[in-house]
Amino acid sequence: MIEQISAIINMDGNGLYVWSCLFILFFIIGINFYLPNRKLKKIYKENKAKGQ
Amino acid sequence: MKSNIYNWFFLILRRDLLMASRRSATYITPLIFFLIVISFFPIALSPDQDFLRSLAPGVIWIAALLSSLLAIETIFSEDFRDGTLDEFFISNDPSFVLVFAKVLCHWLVTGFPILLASIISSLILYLPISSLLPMICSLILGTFFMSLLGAIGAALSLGKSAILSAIIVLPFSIPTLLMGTAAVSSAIDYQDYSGFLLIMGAMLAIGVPGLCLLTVEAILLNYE
Amino acid sequence: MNKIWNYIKNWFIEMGSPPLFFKWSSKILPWLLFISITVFVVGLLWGLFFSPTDYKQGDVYRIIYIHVPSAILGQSIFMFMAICGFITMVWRVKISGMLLKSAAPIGASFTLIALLTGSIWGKPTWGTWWVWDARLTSTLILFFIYAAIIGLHSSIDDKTKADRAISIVSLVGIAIIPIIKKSVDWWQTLHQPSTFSLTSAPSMTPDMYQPLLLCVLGFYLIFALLLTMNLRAEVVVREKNRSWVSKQFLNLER
Repeated sequence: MIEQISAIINMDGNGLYVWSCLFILFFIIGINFYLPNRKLKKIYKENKAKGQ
Repeated sequence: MKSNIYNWFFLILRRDLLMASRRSATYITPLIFFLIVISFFPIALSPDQDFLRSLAPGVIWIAALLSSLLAIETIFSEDFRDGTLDEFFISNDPSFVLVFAKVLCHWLVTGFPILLASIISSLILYLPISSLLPMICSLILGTFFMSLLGAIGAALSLGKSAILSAIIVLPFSIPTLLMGTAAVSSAIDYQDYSGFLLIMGAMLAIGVPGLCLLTVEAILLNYE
Repeated sequence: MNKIWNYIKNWFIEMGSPPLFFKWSSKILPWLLFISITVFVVGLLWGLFFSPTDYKQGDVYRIIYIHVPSAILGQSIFMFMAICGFITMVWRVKISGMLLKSAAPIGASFTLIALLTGSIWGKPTWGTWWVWDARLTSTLILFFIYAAIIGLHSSIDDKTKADRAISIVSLVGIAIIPIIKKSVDWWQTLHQPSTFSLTSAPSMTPDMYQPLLLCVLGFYLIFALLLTMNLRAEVVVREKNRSWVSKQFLNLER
């Protein structure tokens, strides 16, 4: 079991490349998730402040 | 005076050429900038003859591109600022003719000096004489296309920084750059360069109507 | 049949109005989130863990499940933006301009992912981080065009005007991008670097091909999700002074 996991992480010695690519993918898509939600929350807060 | 397209076109062309001839900076500064950029390459890299000869087509073309870009800033901005552009667009005459006349004038004023400067540069950069004619032909076609593209960039960034229009225009000028340098390089090797000139001509043929119409749309944006 | 057609037509017309779009997107957002993340994660897991190892490249080829869908998406998004730009210029539909503006950073992100993962894939297989081959160069140029579009939009204060400026640039782009690709292809064959034999994508058995298709589908769904979120934020930011915004937030709160 452990050798399977370590084989996956290692990926024939090129594990660093594959996992860094995956990390880049999630990081950039994560930024794209985060930014519009932050804009929406900001307007929501402004709206609440104005409403009260 | 009869109001038809030709009169309109020549009126604007004559007006712009007159204005450009009165201010000598308009046609001298692109020339000097071109020569300065060309001189920077041997200074920064290496003055070796063979090295410069291999670099020369690309260097001349990059310098031509950059000088076209920097010189296009004033194509619409002065007329926009003092209101003449409004008058042109209010009148009944077709506005893409205006744009084409301005682009043609701008090219005559900045592209032609660049042609002369490129002959000097080909001597500075040790280009063989066989490449002189293709270089001039490709520069004529290429700088005109660059003026068209620059007109769209100038219209979109009217009143804003020049570097923004440069960012918009430069990626679109890559085919011109590739074809132009290919024409000169293949002429150095005594090969047939007419195909490249034909492609550049085709790009011009599609570009003149299409880009002029889009430039009109871009200028009209500023009058919302 | 006619009823379905009318329903679709009405949906399109309704979506042109920002408050109706916001309401509709709030309803479908949970479903879209669920479906797109599921397909995305399943496709990636299948490709990364359960597909066979390549003969020539070993396990590094698995980067293809990230690189190829991002590249496909980067180009499709540009075509989508050109269509939106055309609709904005011809029919002056405001929401089409907002769609164009929201899609631009997503397209730039996918193109950036394609460039970075392609370069990382190149290191173990070709030996260098970058090589000026046709596909990488034209993707780099595409990234520059995306950056120009985003920069242009942010520099114009009147956002409706900015939308139309971007539509013009994307229309010029969609006409010039095939020319750029062809000329870069030709330039590359002229200057073929003699030291590399560029390995194209590994020839695919169906075992490798199916997770790739699923990944492409997953990426498209993620694009739809990100586009919806961006468009919602854009709509609210532009219309924040109008009454429907505060009403919507009250509804959402409830």
